[in-house]
Amino acid sequence: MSYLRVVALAAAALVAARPAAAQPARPAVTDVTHHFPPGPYTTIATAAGDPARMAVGTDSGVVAWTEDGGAQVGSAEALHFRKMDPVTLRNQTSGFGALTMRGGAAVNLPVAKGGVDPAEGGEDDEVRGMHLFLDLLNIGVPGVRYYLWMTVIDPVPTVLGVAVPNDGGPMALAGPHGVYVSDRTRGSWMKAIGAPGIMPHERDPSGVSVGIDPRDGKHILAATDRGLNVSRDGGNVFLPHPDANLENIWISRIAWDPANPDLVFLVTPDQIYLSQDSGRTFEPSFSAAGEIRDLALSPDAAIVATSEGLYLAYADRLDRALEGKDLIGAVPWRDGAVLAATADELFLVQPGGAAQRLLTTSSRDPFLRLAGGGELAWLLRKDGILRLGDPLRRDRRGGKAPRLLLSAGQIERAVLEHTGLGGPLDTRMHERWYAKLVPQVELKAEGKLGYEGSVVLDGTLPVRERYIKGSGHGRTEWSVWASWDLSDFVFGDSNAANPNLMIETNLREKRKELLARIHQSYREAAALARSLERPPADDEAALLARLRLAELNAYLEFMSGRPIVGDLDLE
Amino acid sequence: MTRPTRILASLSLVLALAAPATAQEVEPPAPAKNPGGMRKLFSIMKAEPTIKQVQHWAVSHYRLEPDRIHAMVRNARLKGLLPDVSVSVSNMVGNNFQNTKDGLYPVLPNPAENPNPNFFKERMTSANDEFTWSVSARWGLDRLVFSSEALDAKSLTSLEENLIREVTTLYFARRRVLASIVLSPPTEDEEYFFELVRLDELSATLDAFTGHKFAKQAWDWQKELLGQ
Repeated sequence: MSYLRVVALAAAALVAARPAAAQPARPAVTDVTHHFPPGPYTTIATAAGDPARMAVGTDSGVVAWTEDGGAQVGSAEALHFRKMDPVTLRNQTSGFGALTMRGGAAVNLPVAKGGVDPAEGGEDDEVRGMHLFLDLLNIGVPGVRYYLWMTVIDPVPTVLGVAVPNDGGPMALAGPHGVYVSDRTRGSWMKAIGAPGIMPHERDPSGVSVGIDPRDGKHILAATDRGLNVSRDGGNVFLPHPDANLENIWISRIAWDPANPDLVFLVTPDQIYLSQDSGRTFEPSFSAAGEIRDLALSPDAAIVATSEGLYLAYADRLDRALEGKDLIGAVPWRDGAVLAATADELFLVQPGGAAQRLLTTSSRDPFLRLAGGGELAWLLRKDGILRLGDPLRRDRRGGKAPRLLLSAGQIERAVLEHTGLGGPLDTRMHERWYAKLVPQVELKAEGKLGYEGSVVLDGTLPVRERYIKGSGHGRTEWSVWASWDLSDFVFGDSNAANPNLMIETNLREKRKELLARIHQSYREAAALARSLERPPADDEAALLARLRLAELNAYLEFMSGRPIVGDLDLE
Repeated sequence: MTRPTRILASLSLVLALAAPATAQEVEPPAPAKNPGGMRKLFSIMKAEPTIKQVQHWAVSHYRLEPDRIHAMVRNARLKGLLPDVSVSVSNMVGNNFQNTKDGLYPVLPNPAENPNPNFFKERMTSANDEFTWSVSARWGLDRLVFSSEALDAKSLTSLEENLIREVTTLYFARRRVLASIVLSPPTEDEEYFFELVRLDELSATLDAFTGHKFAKQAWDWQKELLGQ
């Protein structure tokens, strides 16, 4: 008990020793997305106590990292799976078959064979399906499915969690297929936990989160949907954690205390587990009214973001802030303040609990996670990475800044016109009713040429041929038929059994995806063009911004057929 | 305050035990000027294929040019102008033989010279040949208004867009690696080597996407660094 009192006094002294808090400075928000490979992003993490070491993961399996606060960025395609794109192959008898093939593969496949009725000596569908499969294999394209009703699922390469060591060594990530660790260069990744295949199965473990010991990069904790695993040899061997209480719990975050790495925290939606012996044993240490989303540690408080607001656990008290706010994360900021974010707002919470809104975003590009803290923090959006820290030094020189030549609406119309994807009516995969006004026309022409002749031989007469007759005839006929199918014309166009539903759905989804991507690219291009009115003073940073703008311009220009950015001045 | 507070006490206690951490001082990156490196980088970039060339090569290589897709869409409708044509030809050759005996001539005068078999009085040989042809043409003119095949062709836009996105991303990812190598190369040899390998990897992928047109004009670091 006396020990506790001493600790409490020490903690109180620690808090009292702090100088009177000045108004914490608002962080400068710098969009550094263009330093990184494009998103959508899924996760972000910093090394314990070193927010300049940061890594992000994307939904396409890419991991990117920086060791210096975002100036230099490395990246690797850690999870690389085959992508499937639906392609339609028609044949003459059964309408169409559908298969999938790798995106970007040659499309003039010699496999769309016309069918002949098996009753007339043709091959039946099963045999044609086999030929299709073999032909695909011969040309190097994996034949996956032939029949429409078979669903083909792409492997999901999303990075769900990533861990950055403090020594620049190997990283670790968690994804739906398991847990992966990298080599020292971070260019090669190896599956350490998970099933051998890439297609998910019911009993395969899924990776959820990972954490690396800041003192020893070989000590890795990895959470799967089955519970916690431990490796002490850099990920070569993972063993289930011996604590049975940690089985089958969903650990969304693994955090080490940078000040005392013996303290390890496991964040689950219901409670926070704490280990005081570097992860050997864990005890439940905190639970909250709402769902626990994230945990961050400052020198004098544990900061817990929940779906019901912020908990600030000091040595002597528990403070609440932003009550009722559904937070996605919170990190410590300068002078005892805290940065906290919901899916659409970023707040600066003063030591007294007063909150100031710093930033908002749209529901199309929500905030996903906060990381880092202290002097530098990171805010991850679905399609962007924001650096929260000192303002970027910008060049005072004027000069020509890039400018966008089209509005968002103009570019959307240009893309639809250029690609021919058109509006919703253009993807109806059946004949329009007015097409029934046009008849089926059939012209027939027929001709006959004939000859008839006879010879009569009579035995009673001295002449051999008594009669010889011959006659010829010829006939030519032609007719024109016009036929109308009045059923749809008269009774309407119900199209209840649309045989081409799959193609229609694909086209519609493609248009939706494409327009979302066009809007996102346009927004990013507009933000970059705006920021390049005063480019970063760092030449390389300015170049990276222009390169990213050029990348967006190249994509938008190809898809719209119109120039998008003027005065880019790069090539 | 029941359970959360009680449990929180242990959390706070442990935190208080931890050594007070110093705030992490992170220096903002100092502005860097590297005019020599910039000049070199831009001279390399100018000599390399532009993104428009690379996009054009890629879609040509995969036969996914927008013009080709548009032409396929247009042609799918124009197919309605051309009919399904059927042609048939048949030829019939017929022969009839008719032998007649006549009661008025029970015995023929010169049976030895009777040309008819079996001493028939009369034999009629007739031929009946007929040659028939027919041509029919059938137009589905409603395809001029709407052809579902045109939408099949439109679905190629999906492949085209994927290809363009992939190629554009690769191209600029390579440019970023190139900028990093030229402007701020890693100091350690091994890291420098891995950066060059990464550049080669991206160059090779782009080369494959463009039908082996990219590498011919891409910067060859081996020539510059190794003199090969």
